[in-house]
Amino acid sequence: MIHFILASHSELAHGMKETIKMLTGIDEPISAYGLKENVNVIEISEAIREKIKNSSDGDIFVIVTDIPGGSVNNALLDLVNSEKVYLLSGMNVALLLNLVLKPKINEKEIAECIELATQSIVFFGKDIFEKNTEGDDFFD
Amino acid sequence: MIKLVRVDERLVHGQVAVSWTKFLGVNRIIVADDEASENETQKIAMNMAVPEGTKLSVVPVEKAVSLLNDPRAAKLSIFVVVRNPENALTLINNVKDIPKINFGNYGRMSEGDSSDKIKLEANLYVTDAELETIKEIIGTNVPTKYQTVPSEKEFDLKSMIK
Repeated sequence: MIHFILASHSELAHGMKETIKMLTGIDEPISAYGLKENVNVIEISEAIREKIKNSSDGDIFVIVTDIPGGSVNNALLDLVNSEKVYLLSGMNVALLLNLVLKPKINEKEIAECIELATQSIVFFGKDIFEKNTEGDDFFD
Repeated sequence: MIKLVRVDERLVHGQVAVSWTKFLGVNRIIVADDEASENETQKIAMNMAVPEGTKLSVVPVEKAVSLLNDPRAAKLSIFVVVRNPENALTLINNVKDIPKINFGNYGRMSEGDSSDKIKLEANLYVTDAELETIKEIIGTNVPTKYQTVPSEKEFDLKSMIK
């Protein structure tokens, strides 16, 4: 089974879980952890490690954090040594959507998801209304 | 050359557009639709879904016919998207060398109550009139298939119509 672990500062991870549930109906394989006043990074790190320790052979963990170099991400960094774990940062909706809809996960699939997630970050500049879709430059 | 003509009521949208564009390896997408060609917001939204390196043109059906019949089109690799079977038939009747018609998502959002429609597949609902148009399309002998995304199996639409 592929498990998705979302970890962030504050409510982002929980909110992201809800968003993905709304968009895809996928809920159960996703778990969320957020740093709060009463939840510190050690507790989050330990809870995630416990989950991985108790998993079955063949289980895969895709951990997505909010920002590279953030305390949550840093606390989980050594987990990349595990065969079962893939660690990513920069969670956004497109990234999660693509990940949870993948039938299998490997480095190549993850790279593809990151590429699509990057493409979802778009600046809608004023010139957007000037982009030509009239077919005048079709043969250029 | 035209690689594929797709009937999809949502026209160009999200991952479906990306997956077909990449699968077909096209450098041009033509949305042949009178309504969408007048709708600036929809054109922008569609442009967002088009991968880098592919040029999108949203034009009335008549203009699509003239673009596709232009001899210069032979050098390009083109994916054509239409909203309904009627526009697909118009293209077949007016454009040379249409290799295949692909039906994707159709009938759930377009006019009319989907409960009055004939369900041909999970994502394909048609009215009586549309069914007649589809039969006419099949009658032109242009291969007519049902396939929502490239990773799924392709079905002959003829075999889905009783």
